[in-house]
Formats: sequence, structure tokens, C-alpha cells
Amino acid sequence: MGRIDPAALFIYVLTVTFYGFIARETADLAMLAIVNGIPGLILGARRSRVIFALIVLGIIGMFFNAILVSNTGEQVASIGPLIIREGAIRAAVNVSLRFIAIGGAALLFSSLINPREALRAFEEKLGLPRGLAFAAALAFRLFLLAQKDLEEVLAVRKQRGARTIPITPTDIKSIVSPIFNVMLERGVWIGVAAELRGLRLAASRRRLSPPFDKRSIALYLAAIIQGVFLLIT
Amino acid sequence: MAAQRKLTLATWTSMDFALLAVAAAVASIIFYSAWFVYEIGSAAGPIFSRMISYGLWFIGAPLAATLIRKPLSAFLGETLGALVESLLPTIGGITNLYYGIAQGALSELVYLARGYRRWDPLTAALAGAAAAPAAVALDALLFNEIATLPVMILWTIAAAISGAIYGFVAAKIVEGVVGTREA
Repeated sequence: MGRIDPAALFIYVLTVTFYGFIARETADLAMLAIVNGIPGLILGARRSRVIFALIVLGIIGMFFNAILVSNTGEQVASIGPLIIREGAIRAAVNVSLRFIAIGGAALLFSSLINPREALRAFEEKLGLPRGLAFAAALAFRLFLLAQKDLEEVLAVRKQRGARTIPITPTDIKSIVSPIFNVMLERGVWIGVAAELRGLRLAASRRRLSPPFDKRSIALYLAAIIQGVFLLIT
Repeated sequence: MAAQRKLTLATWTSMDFALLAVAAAVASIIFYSAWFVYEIGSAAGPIFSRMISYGLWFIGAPLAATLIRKPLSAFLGETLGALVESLLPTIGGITNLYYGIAQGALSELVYLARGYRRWDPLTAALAGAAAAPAAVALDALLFNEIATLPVMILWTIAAAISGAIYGFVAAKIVEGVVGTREA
């Protein structure tokens, strides 16, 4: 089986996320959640447990938020002094469906595409300037290294009896400073190496040439069909 | 010197792009952690959660601008940090990129308004605060977080204060680290 083009999938996910922004009706959001959320959650559940857990946490948070900002209309239920109204339920359902659609689309992308492949495709097919593609690829590599650095810093803070979850700006500063220092060291030497090799990143940019193979066209069609559904309903 | 103030990447060197990568990587790791801070803070209400977490999501712009000190650095620091965060992925998915672009653009406007001459912690604090309206507006659009006008103003102020504090902290970190290295 051939592979899905990262640029085409990115265009698809970008479009679906935009739909998630503009859709207001529950039926539209339910369609987006079913089409994108279910495959995304199935594919991504194993690989991205953290995001899966965050989606669940987010939905719970959204429910409390809906009670706070949209608790209007007919009374539906009451828990002690708390009265839950129709508006809160509708808002919680809509936002949760939007969360599932957008989070699911993100999981779909991250499950099927390697970030480095994605960045290469952005440069070659979506016209991302070479300098920015270089910076994004390097940032992604540095991110993975920074994660390890962060673990070390947090382990040391724990041993010293300091908070591992930063709450105050001082906490942030004492965690970010050492990581930033190490990353800057790496970044500066990579920059020096790039300069010495005469790498010219500033002016170069490729033409926009989105993929049009069968799988990519199928993805574009899927995005168009969902857009038409939103327009009709 | 005038060319230095143009909104173009033509004056950027490979070193600038490498530094942008550093800023974007640091920003993305902060953005990633901010989700947990926000979820924990949510238990104490919307004002507190915005106060402790939103500035963390605005930190990419002041961090990159203070480090690189070139036009577009604030916008690209925030946007690229958000792009890396989107690729990881996090719960916001590609919406992170929309937030990054909008917040980065507003922060960039602060540096533009100051003529691309001031890269100090005060400007960084203003740049951090400037991103708040974009975040609150996108929250309203995406997460239906729409309340009465006074409440929304209060949310924007809370996010702006958070942005100002973390923007200031970001600039101080950069100044401290770069100062130590230069010494």
C-alpha cells in the first residue's frame, strides 16, 4: 500500500480544522467528529496517549466551562445547589464534538506522518521558505533533545525539594534558563556550521506545487464533501 | 540600517535561522507544558487559569525577538513554536498554528510600533500582553468561550497580564543567558 502525501494530508487537516472553527450546528460538528475524530482516535490512541488523555480532560473542563458561561434556558438537572440548564448542555456537547473533530484530525496527521517528512513536504510542495523549513526541522530535533534536558532539570528539582510543576514566574525561569542555555549552545554551533558551509537559506523558496496523485485527490474530495455538507445543513 | 528594519527574510543569516529554531523549540516545549498548567489552573476558575497559563502560550514571540533582534523574529518565533507544537501533536491540533499566527502577528506589531529599535524586557512584556486579544477572540470562536462584555474584558486583561509577566521573564532569561555567554 502506498503512502499518503504529507502535504495533501496537511491541507486536509488544515481544512477540517477550519471547518471545526466555523461550524456552529450540532449536526455539522457531529459529522466532523465522526468522520475525523473516530479514525484519528483509533489510530492515535496507542501512539499518543497523552493527547488522548488531554482530550478526555479537556471535555471535562469544557463541561464546567459551559456551566460557567452558557448556563441559560430550561433547567435540565440539578446537583445540590448547582442548576444545569439547556444552554450549558448544548454548549458542552458542541465544544466536545469540536474538540474530538480537531483533536482527531491532529491525531490522524501525527499517526500517519513523520514530522520530518511533513516539514520536507511543506518545503518542497507547499512553498515554505527554505530557511523556515530548516528552522522548523531543527526546532523539532531540538525539541526532542530539550525533552530529555527537561526531565533532568525536573529530576534535580525534585531531589532538591522544589516544585516540578511550574507555578510562579521564578519556577519558569529556573526551569527554562538551563534548558535554554544548553539549546543555545547547540543552536549557535549548528548556525556556525551552516554559515561556514556557505548554506544560503534567506532568499531561496520553491514554487507551490501541491500533490495531485490519486490518494491526495481522494483527500481533497473528502474535504470538499464535508464542506458541502456544512453548506447544505 | 534601514534594510534591517524591513519586513523581509532577505537579511536573515543561517545563524539567525538556527537561533529561531532554538527559540521555537524552547517555545514549543513551554506551549506543550502549558496545557497541563491550564488544565490544573482551570479548577480555580477562568481568570486564574488564564493568569497562570496564557502568557506561556505567548512566550515564543518575546523569546525569539529578544534573541534574534530582527524584523519578523517575534512573529516567526511564535508561529514556528506553534507549528512544532501542532506536529507533536497536542490537544489543540492544527488550531495551535492559527493561534500562533494570530498571537505572533499582534506581538510583532509591538516591535514594529517601536521601530524595531527596542528589544528590552519592557518591549517584550508589551509584546506578550499584545497577544491576549487574539487568544481570547479565538477562544470565543473555537471553544464558545463567550461571556458578557465586562467578563470578556476581564479575561483579556488576565491574559494580557500573564503575557506581560511571561514576556518580561522570557526577555530576562535571554538577556541573562546571552550575557553570561558573552562574559
